[in-house]
Amino acid sequence: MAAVANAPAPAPAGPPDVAVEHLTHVYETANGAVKALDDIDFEVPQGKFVGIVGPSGCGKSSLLLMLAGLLQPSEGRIVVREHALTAPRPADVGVVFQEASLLPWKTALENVEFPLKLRGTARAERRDRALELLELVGLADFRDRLPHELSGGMRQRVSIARGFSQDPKILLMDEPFAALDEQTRLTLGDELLKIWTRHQKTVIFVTHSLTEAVYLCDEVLVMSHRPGRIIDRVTIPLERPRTYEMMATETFGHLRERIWRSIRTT
Amino acid sequence: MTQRASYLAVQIAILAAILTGWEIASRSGAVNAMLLPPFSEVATQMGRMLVSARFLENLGVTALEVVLASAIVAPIGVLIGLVLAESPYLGAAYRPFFFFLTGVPKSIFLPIFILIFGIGISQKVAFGVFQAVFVLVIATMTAASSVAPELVRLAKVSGATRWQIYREIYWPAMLPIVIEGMRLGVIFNITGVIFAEMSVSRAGIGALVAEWGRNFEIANLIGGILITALLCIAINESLRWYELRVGKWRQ
Ligand SMILES: Nc1ncnc2c1ncn2[C@@H]1O[C@H](COP(=O)(O)OP(=O)(O)OP(=O)(O)O)[C@@H](O)[C@H]1O
Ligand SMILES: [Mg+2]
Repeated sequence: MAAVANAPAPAPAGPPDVAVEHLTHVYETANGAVKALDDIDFEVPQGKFVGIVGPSGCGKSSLLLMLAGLLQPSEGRIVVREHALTAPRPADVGVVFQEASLLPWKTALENVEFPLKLRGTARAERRDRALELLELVGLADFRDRLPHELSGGMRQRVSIARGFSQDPKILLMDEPFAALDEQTRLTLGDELLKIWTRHQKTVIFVTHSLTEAVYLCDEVLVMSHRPGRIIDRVTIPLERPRTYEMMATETFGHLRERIWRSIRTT
Repeated sequence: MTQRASYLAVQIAILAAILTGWEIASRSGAVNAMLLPPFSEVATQMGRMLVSARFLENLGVTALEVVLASAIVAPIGVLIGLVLAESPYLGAAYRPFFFFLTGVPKSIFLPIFILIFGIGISQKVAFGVFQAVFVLVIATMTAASSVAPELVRLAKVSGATRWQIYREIYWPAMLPIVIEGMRLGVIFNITGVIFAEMSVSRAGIGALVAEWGRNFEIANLIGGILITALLCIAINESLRWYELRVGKWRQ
C-alpha cells in the first residue's frame, strides 16, 4: 500500500502539455534590439514538474510571459495542450507572477477569489475555497487586509493562493517563494507538491534556489546568460514523495552540484 | 481618536474667536459697522434669507444651472478623456489643445457666450460646462494612464473577458481620480455659473449678491456670501469623502 502511495504519478502517455519550438524573442527598445531568448526548445509532458534556473536577466520571466500567452515570440511557437498559443488560455494555464500583482483595492480574500469570481462561481462557494487557500498559505487572519497593509512575502503568498484558486491544468510560477523565509519556503514547497500530486497538475517553476529546484522538480532546465538558451537539462531521479532527509543525501548533493556547474560555465 | 477630537476642539475655538473678534470689533466701533455689521446681525439676516422666497428662488436657479451643467460635463468629460487616453491617434493629435486650454482663464471667454447664448439660463449652463470640462478630461486621461498594465495582464490570465477587464480593473482603478476630477469640475462649474450670473444675469445667487453689493446692503451681502460658501464647502467635502472612500486602497 505504502509503496503505491509513494509511487510517482504514472506518466500519462499522450501529447505533452506544453511544447516550445525554436522560441526566440527580441525586445525592441529605444536603445536598440535586446535579444532575450535564443532558440528555446523543450517539452513538458502532462503532470510533470519542470524547473527553470538561470542567471538574473537571462529571460526566464520573458519565457513565462510567452507561455502565458501575454507576449508574442519573435520566432518559433508554443503549443499548449495541442493548441498553438496566440492568447492567454486561462482554463489551461495559470500564472503566479514574479511581482505579486495583487489588485490593490481588493482584500487578500477577494484577491484569492478573483479568478473564481471571473468565472461566475457562487459567492459562498468561492469564499470557502479562497479561505481554505489563505489558510494553506498561513494568511487566514489577514483575509480582510488590503495589499498595502501586507508585507512583501505575505503579498507573494496571497498571489500563490490565487494561482491555486484558479486551478488551471498548467501552473506557471515565477520565483513564487523568492520573498519568503526558508521555513515558509519549505512548507509552501511541500503544499505545492501535495496540490500537484492530488490534482495531477503540470508545473513550470522558475527559481534561483538550486536546492528548491532539485527538491521540487522532475526535470530542471538550466539557462545561459542573455540571450537565454537552454544549456543543460537535468533529470531528477529522486523518488516521490520527496522528504527533507533527501536533501542530505549524496544524490541530492550531486544533482545540485551538476546544476551549479552548468550555471557557472555559462 | 483623542487626537482628532483635540484638533476639532482647537478648530472650533479658532472659529469662535474669529466670530467673537468680529462681533466686538464691529460693536466697539473699531471697524466701521456700515462696512462690517456685527456677526450677530449678519447671522440674523442669514436666518431671514433662508426663509425668504426671493433668496430661495435665486438659489434654486443657480442650483439648477449647476446641476444641468454637471449633468452635461460628467459624461462628456469622461468620454473625451477616455477617447484621448485610449486612442493613440486622437490622443496625440488633440491632447495638447486640452493641456493648453487648461491654462487659459476661461472667464475671458464670457462675452462670446453672451453673444451666442444671450443672458438666459442656457448661457450660464454653457459657461459652467466650459469652465468645468477641461479639468475632468485631464483627470480622466490621467486616470486611464494610471491603470497598471500588470493588473490588466493579470486579469487576462485569470480569465477575464474584455468587459470584465473594464469592470474589474479599469473602473475601480480609475474611479478615485475621476471623482477627484469631478469634484474640481463642480467647483469650476459653480465658479463659472456664479461669475456669469454676476456679470449680466437677472437671476441666480450671483446676480442677487452682486445687486446687494451695488445697493450697499452689507448684511445681506455678507450673509449671501457665507451661505453660498457653506453650501460649496458641503458639496466639496461630500465629494472628497466619497473620493477617499473609493480610493482607500491608494497609498
Ligand atoms: N519589456 C521589456 N523591454 C525591453 N527589454 C526587456 C523587457 N523585459 C525584459 N527585458 C530584457 O530581457 C532580458 C530578460 O529579462 P527577464 O525579465 O525575462 O529576465 P529573468 O531571467 O526573469 O531575470 P530575473 O531572474 O532577474 O527575474 C533582460 O535583459 C531584460 O533587460
Ligand atoms: Mg524574472
